[in-house]
Amino acid sequence: MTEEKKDQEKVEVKEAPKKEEIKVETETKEVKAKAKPVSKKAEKVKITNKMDDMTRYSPVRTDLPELKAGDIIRVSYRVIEGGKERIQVFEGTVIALKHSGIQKTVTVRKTSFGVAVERIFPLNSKLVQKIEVKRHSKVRRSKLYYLRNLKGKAARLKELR
Amino acid sequence: MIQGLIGKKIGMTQVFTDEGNVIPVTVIKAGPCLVIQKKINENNELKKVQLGLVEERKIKNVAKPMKGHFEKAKVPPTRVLKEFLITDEGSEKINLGDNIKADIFKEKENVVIIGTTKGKGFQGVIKRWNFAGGPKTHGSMHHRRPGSVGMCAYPGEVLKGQKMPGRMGGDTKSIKGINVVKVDVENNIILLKGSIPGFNGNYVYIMKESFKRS
Repeated sequence: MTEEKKDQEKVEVKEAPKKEEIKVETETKEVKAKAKPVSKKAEKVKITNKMDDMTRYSPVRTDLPELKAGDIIRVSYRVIEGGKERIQVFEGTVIALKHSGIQKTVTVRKTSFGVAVERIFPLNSKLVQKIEVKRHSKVRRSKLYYLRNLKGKAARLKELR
Repeated sequence: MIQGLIGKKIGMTQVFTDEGNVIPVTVIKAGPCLVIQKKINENNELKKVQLGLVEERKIKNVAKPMKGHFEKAKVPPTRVLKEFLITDEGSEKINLGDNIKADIFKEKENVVIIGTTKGKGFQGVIKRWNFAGGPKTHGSMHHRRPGSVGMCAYPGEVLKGQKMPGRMGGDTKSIKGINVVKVDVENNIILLKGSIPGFNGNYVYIMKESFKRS
């Protein structure tokens, strides 16, 4: 008796999964048939739903050297005066780098004939033609605003070697 | 020509011109949109077209009646549906399932943006209606209050439309005269000068300035 029962159970077990499998197949087929885009034009459309990185729409310049506070740099800047264009060079110390990405600016300070001049250049502007780094200085902070209160010999920075 | 598109606000950034000026821009994913339905008026003229924004969408999440609506036009399910006016010019060429792209707009053209503003919640009269408020000191006790809301026995009631505290923001607003800075048809991107209403990720409607409400 026991052997017979076991055989019956086995048969049942074997039959059951087969039925399920068939059912699943038929269901998926139906869904697929409905999901197919019928129009050829519709298939060509690229489907994207991700929030893209903003730098894609405003590419950041990569041709400029890496700057740091305390660097002494030469900025070649295009100046348009009276319809004529020429290049102006501004050489001085980097006292601050602000913002990131496309908004990045550099503040350059120089002293000529005893008068200190500071200029802020937007690094991604097309008017900034090139930047040369002449030397690096040994500094301990990222913003060198304390140089504004110093004069002459005291306003020097040690060169980094 | 179809007079508008459905878009999605992505965010803001800035663009440099050749003269060195900075233009603040809003990035919008504009289209591609599919023509889902043609709206024909009593005189059998095609005046409106229903567009849908193409975005990734699971078919199991589309309601059955809507599935039928999309199958009629033989297009995959789209996200937002909106009717747009069309001009008589080239209206015969429009077919169901047509792919409308951002190239209906040109650079330096002005457009109208319709979107939902950011919800600010329940706000007082100073933020909501730009009231001046009272003095802060000298024993005033009338800091951010609205003040008088009406007259005396005649009319004996507060007039309708009196500016008072309440829910602010979350309204549908349209802004005219927004300049198109750049159109990128390949990536379906439009750059617009300045800001537009709503959060990043909100859906907006971009209309040509020549469009007229029916």
